[in-house]
Amino acid sequence: MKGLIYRILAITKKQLIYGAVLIGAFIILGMLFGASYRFGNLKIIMLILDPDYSAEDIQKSIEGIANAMVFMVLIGIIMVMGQGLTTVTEDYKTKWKSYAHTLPVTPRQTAAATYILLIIEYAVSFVIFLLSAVTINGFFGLSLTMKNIGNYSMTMLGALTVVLILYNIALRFDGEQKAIHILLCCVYAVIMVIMVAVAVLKGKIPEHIRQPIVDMLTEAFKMFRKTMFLFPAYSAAVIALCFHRSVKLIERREK
Amino acid sequence: MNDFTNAIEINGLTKKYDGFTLENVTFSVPKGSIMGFIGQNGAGKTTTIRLLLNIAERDAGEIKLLGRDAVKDEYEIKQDISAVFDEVPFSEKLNATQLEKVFRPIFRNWDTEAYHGYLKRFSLPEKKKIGEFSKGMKMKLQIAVALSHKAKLLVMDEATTGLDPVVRNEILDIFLEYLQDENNSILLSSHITSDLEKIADSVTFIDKGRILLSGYKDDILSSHAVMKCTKEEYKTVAAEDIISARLSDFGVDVMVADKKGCKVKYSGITFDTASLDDIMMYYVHRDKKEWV
Repeated sequence: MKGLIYRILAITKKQLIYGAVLIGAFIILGMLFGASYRFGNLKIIMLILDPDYSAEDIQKSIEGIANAMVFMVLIGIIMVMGQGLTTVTEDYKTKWKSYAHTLPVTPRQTAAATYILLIIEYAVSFVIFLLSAVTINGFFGLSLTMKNIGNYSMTMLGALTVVLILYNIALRFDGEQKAIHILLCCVYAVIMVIMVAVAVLKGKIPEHIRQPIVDMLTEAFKMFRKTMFLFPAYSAAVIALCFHRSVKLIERREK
Repeated sequence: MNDFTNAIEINGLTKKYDGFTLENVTFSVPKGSIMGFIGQNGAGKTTTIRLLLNIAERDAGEIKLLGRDAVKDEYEIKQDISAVFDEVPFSEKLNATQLEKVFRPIFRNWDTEAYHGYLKRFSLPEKKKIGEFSKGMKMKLQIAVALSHKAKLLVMDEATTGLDPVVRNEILDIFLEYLQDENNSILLSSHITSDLEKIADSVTFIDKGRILLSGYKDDILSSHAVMKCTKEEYKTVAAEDIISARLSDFGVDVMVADKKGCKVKYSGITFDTASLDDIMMYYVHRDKKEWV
């Protein structure tokens, strides 16, 4: 398995380095914005743009900017986490899959190599992300709340599960480009359904039909909020299911 | 490893595709020998090899590799098998040194010294990306990997196709060296029959998914011959003696499978030695019987 992990790392090395540079640039940008607010002229620029800004407005805007900066780093990290997927396309191009069937490597080992690497990448990324979030917030004179940390953790865990679902789609269709297209189509479809639902709810539906639906959705959202602490368990279940599916997909022989 | 006499034993191997069927393929490769697996493009060589290596699912038949079941003992057997394909399966982003780090933990018998020896012998740069290698270099690298884990069986699918004669000869020499160990065996699929004539001990000829000939190369070559007939002489040749006949303005060349018998039967006719290429060509036209 060590050899397989090394292989993925070696193939994605360049992308990982580029990703690290990008993340580094985002962190520096965040720190510069923070420094500009605390020691420079960002606050003055904000007041020039809108002289009616109160101290509270400025504080809110600064929190917004800091969050945006942290979010950029988060997006960068999620993008880097997905680099393991590019090996699927690479393998398809070089016909590695057929060759791998001639090696003394079980499908479980092949899948495990990818999952272990992704989870290690996830853990390292999470530590880097938390450190950068604390630093950026520090430069803005803000502190990271537990709620923030919880939200970030869930976003990253969610991203990891999406990456693993994408990995399975990529395995199924022999390439990460196809997987991304399929995922985007799914996202568009969900957005369309939501938009249609909203339109219907806001439209000409009789109140006695509309109200129960709104109540039901509100209740569902409340329940979801209440069970948020179970999110890691949901993610673990999704990861386990994804792993099982990956083994099956790797095990497939040509028909 | 248990005792076995045949490195490969294939029995009744069948696989149906839309428009092509590999039918009841049966042959064996004796331990310590090299078998040439010949046939036209699309004859079923690659399909047979893919089934042999369990890359594709078979519909029926049995395969034993190194005396063990190819499916049941798959992962154990594959420690002792090497496959070389016509297209290099390694990422172009890697180099030879990185490749070693990939394969060393996979194969328990990986021999670092042997690998670097082959790299040196083939003049392959260790740090250069595989993407910058020529086709010959890529093939040599694949062979270096295949020979560096003390495999007992090499399965090669068109491994020498597309290479220049100098590189091909170099690779054939390596195969002969590999066979110095009598426990090692090779199945070499190719449509370049001249290579196989040089090194193969036995030959299996496949056409349209069926095995037409399988046996020792020398026996096959000595039993076949091309009869150089005039059109009049050709009329006297019995249909059962003819594999197929090539018609030309100057006469008729007839391939026969029983050279000895035919020489007695048709004493006035000249017999030419048949090469594997000739045999392949005449057998391919066996259904038409006569061709130009």
